[in-house]
Amino acid sequence: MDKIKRLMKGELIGLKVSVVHSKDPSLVGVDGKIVDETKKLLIIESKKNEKKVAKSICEFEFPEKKCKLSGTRIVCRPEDRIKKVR
Amino acid sequence: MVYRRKQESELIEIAISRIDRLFSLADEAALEHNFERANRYVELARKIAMKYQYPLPSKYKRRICKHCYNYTLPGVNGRVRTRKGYVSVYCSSCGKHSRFPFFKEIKARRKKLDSKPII
Repeated sequence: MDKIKRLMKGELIGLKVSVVHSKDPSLVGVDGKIVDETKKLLIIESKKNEKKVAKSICEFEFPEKKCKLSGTRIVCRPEDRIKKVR
Repeated sequence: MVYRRKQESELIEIAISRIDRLFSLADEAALEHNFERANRYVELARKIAMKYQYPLPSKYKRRICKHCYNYTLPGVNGRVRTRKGYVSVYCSSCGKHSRFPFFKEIKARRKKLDSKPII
């Protein structure tokens, strides 16, 4: 399976992530560890605090996996992501 | 035996790896005494297992309360005692006992002792 597909279908909780680009300029530069996930949000915990980031307006970069991902591709409930994501 | 298509078995492999990862994360969260997070991870793992009709392995079943599905950390969250033929785990959040019998091991031991010749 493709590397990016495996990332999209796999578990995102526990991975380090940083927001590279976003419609909301205050969200650019948010980085930390993913702590929780809902249908439309990623909850990222950085050194200062927890931040709820909308998936549909952001682009994410995973430094450990060395790939970028647009958030619109993973707008889905976490348990549905295995089957639904294309 | 349920027949699963080849495509589906790949998805089940991903589901199994996610369940393992979620339970290890729950363990880490519980050791930091963050039980809300640990329970949330257990909830996600159970949902994934239910979706793909995959029964949780017994090593994970023993770590959660059978009644309220809370993550149990012995010594902090619950009391673990051995009784005759089973292990009893008391959950301090719901106040109920869960029993995990080990009849297989007792029977195997009895069979082994019976097969030995009496001198």
